[in-house]
Amino acid sequence: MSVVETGKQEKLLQRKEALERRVTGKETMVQSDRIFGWGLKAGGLLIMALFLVVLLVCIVTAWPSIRKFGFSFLWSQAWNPSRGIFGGLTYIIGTFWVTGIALVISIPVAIFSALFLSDYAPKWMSGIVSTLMEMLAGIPSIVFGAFGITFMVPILRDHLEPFLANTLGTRWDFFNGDALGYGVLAAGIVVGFMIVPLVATVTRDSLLMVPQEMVEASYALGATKAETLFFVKLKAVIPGIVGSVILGFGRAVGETMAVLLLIGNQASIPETIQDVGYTISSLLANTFTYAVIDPLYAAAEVELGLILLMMTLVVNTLGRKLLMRLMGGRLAGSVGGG
Amino acid sequence: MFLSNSSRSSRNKRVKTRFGRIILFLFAACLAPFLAAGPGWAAGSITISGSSMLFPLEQVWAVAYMKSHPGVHISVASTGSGFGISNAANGNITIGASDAYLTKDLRKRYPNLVSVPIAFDDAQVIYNVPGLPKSVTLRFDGKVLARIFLGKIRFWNDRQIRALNPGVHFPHTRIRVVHRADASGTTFVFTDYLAQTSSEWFNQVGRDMSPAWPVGSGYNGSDAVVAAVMSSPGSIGYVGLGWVKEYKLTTAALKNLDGYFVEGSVDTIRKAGHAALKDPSFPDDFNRSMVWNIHGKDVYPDANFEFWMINTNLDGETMKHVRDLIMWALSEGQNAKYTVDSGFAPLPFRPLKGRLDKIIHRLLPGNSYNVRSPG
Repeated sequence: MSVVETGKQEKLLQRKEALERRVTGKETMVQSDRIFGWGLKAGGLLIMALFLVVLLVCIVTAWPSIRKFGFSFLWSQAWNPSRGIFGGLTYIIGTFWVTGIALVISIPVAIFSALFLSDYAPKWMSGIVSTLMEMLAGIPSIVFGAFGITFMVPILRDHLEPFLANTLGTRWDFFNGDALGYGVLAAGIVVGFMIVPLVATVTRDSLLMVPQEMVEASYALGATKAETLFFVKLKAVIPGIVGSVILGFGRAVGETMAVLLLIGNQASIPETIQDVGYTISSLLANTFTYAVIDPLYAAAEVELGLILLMMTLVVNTLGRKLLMRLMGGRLAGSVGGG
Repeated sequence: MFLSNSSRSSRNKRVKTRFGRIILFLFAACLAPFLAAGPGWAAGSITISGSSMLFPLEQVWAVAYMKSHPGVHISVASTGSGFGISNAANGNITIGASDAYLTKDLRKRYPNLVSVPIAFDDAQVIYNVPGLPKSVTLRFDGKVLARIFLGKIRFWNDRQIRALNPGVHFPHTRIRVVHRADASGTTFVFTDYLAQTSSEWFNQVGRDMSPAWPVGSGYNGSDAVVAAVMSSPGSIGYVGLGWVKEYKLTTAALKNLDGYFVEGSVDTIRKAGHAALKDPSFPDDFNRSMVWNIHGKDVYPDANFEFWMINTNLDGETMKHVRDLIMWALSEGQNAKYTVDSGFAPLPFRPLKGRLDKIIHRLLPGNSYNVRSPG
């Protein structure tokens, strides 16, 4: 092994020397190369430094709260700024509610639309729909929030939420809440709309990359189009879907403006799907400028921000691991990077 | 091949130079005001930041003041009362605007701050009861209101609400509590009224600009509160005077100390201020924004002062400008075209004088409110 490697290295060295000989003004080239290299290194280091500084500032600011409440911050519901008591459970659970509803709504829609675009839509149509989808992904979240208030809230309040309460709600309390329009359902649905384009485009791109031979082999075995789609193509792109869902999670979990406008901003843990709630990001957006008045209050809010950061980090890492296993360690880096 | 390449590159070059010129021009245009304003601007520069409620009033004040006082530059920002207080204390801004007074805790944390009352505002209760004619004004007292906002009274036809409103027919509709989600001075004033009139509220929630609301749903800003109350049947919420006027809302009459039910208006708020300042027990340093416990017939029980927080450690030159601005704001600035048009009530002027003397004196020894020094 080592003999082969030294041989390789020698070859490389020779090639390099030949290249250098061919180039005139050797000195300046090396110099400029070095400067260029420094520039690149500075860029790379800056990103690392930025991440570390943000993390460090957050930890230092959050320290009074971390020291005072310890791990109980994670499972305490008490949040009373005027008495200096802080626990983040309500906001953590609220964040999961919205993210959960958003994913439940967006994943099927996104996969169906991706399948439609890759295999069923006529060419002219898939072009139009793809462009529209990319435009949809670029709409600012505040616009989605405004759409939610003017369009979704009245529909939920007058139709969907009473309907859920009168049908599923008679059997399960989970669906039997007060039809206010605002709440975790409204926020979840709109955030779901926001991540559909994200999940759908990545899924469509992976579907288009499935080797034609696999599809032909499936047809040759007598499978129908739908069977081929579901059991061959979709199965082959599971890693891509997982990766896109992770991206979607990252977007949903930190989404602020649209959620703030729709969730009803009430610090209570939702018991039914119609209930109001509160997420970490909307709490910070609503109250952080006021929280700076009291170091402990600000610390508690920054600690919630840290928890949000950890949530995305953990999900991203787990997602990468999962992808790695599913893909046999090949494509993971290119898809899982949130 | 070669020709076309060179022509393209020259075109690119031309575009680049034009682009460069545009950039240079924009840059110069951005810089010009700074250069032109020069040293004069730096000398009389005042930054006001804080309360979003006071922001509209401060904007019209700044425009009018800069017109009549050339050489003084005022920049105003709406950043929230908490930001205003903490940044006035650490010297980042000249004046911190706040809807709330300095509580005991805050005075301990920021001993250098002096609060100067500059306008009058209130919190008023708005509601949307299905089937209730617009002409009917509901009546509440602090106890019933507190029980509604605690989630203990859950339907509009509750016995306790009917007892306060004889002759009004209420539907059996769920009450939907609407409150502010962002930290707000209106919330402080409203919860202060509840805390002062209901021991239940005092013990369970207390007063705060961002309290732990037991029930309801929260919205960012008073406009969103108005929209939520108007769009969801059964709602009850609260907003300040400015929004009541702007949206022509029907508001509830609140029970005052002497048992009268009074609706909030410029007139009833000012009466409350007059009565409060005549009361010998009212603190000299104004560290009580609420004027709820005031005797009188037409006294609205949920009015409050709006404050500017001044750091006593400002340098002499800046303090002189600040003092001039405060004096202007308290005299000419109280004109209805500024205050009432921005949704505030002017300060009840004469009774304030004695106390303002003391505050101005503390801010800048040797000066008091009635000294209109030209500079």
